[in-house]
Amino acid sequence: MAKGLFATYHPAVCMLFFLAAIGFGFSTQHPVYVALSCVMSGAFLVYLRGWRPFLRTVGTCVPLVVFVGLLNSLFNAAGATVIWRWGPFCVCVEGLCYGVAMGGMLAAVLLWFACYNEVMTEDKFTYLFGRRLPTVSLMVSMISRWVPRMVIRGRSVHNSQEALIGGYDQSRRGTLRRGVRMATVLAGLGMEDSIQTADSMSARGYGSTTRTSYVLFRWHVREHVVLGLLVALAVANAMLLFADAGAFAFYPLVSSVEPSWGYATYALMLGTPFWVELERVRRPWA
Amino acid sequence: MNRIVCATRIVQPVILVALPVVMLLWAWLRLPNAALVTSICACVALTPFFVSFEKSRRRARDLMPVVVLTSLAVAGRLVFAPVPAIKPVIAIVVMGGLCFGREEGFITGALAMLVSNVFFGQGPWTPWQMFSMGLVGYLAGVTGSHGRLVRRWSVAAFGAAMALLYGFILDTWTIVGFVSNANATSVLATYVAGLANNVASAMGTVVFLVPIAHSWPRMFGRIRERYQM
Repeated sequence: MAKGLFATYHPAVCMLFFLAAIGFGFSTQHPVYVALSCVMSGAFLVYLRGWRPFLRTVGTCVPLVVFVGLLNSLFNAAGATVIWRWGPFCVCVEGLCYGVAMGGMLAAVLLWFACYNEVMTEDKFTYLFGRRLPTVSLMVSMISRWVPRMVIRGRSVHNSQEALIGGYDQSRRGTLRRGVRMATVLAGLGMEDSIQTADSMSARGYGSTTRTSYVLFRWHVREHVVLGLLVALAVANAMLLFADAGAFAFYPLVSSVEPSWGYATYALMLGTPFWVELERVRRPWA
Repeated sequence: MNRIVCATRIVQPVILVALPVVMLLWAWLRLPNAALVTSICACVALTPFFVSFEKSRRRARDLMPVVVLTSLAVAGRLVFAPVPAIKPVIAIVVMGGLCFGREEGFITGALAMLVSNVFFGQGPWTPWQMFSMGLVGYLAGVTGSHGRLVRRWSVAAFGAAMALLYGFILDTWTIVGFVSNANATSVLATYVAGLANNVASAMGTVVFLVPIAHSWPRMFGRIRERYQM
């Protein structure tokens, strides 16, 4: 269970929040909105997992963010203020600003996805989509069960072959041959095993009627309140953010940043995981 | 077979062509919000495949090949995680499409990327990875159904081509989604940056496919006969 009250909310509310955060995060390179999204997603991830995992996540994002930033700033001659030109490379101030904004946008979205992974665990995902897509969600949960099983099986196949055959040739060819034989054994074994599982499922009535689900999540008053606020903020953002983003241009000259109410509504929307904690004022035990 | 399944089966090949075309048009016309729009389009493109799989009312045991192959692919991607670029996923998905048909191939590829990204990190790339890997399985199913992919080396060559196609689609998506005012140099730079990775992945796929190209179809045929699938 992820930390914080937000993770205890109904999965539909959490899902809507992440859709809004990622959708809006993806749709603008306006520097203030990008900065807000970066700060909020970073703060949420630190809150969820602590500093060290946060830094590790940031570390894995860095190469991609830097690559995209460089790609946008090094090869772009659309700006007016050229600072350096050499062959195909043309670096201008506007391109650099755009590269930073684009990199920041990507970083924010990646951090939101990291938060999503933490909050929207597989059971919540299955709860949301299990009734709509019973076959596919059944398959996803079976696959998640089978992956560790494959690894464990692989180890026991390896051990028994080592005991039977003994000394391996350690050459690359030998390793490859062993790996392929292992995969073949696992595929055949898994196939026969899983067919028996399937027969046993059918014998117990799988597929004979629509699936029911054990409801773990209740829709309380707080879900109504937070959902209403989220939708209101998202609508406000849809108007304010796109107006601001439309008025802002990087090329040919970077426009100046105007004050706007959109920053406040955007920060409030992205701050949902934090302000839902106000519930503790009334219910300290929550 | 009900009507939804028939309709989605007709739509499927159209969608497979339409999605890349929409992506390229979006880039060509320099429309805004390419990253968001292309990700949403990829999600939409995935639906007919999953809906038709859902509605076709397969028996439980007919789902099992996909489950087993997908978990093998995910486990393979995990085991080979320390080695850059070389993964058995494409080889396994090609085998899935080849031995069990185009729809099974698509679902195997798409689910393999969805589930393995739980370990490798979900991101804006997930729908596109699912789509491209699904396309690999689908094409393997189509080519296999015409009896083309029998000889060892033709399977291997097909796998290599699929690995390159997969890398090419994802590199193109990077350009469309994240490079503004793309010109010849930035496009070339992206493809060159991805080239080493894609070539290594194609070579890895060949190495994995050559030894299993004959043995796996035979093995699956035997199992199918034995359990009357």
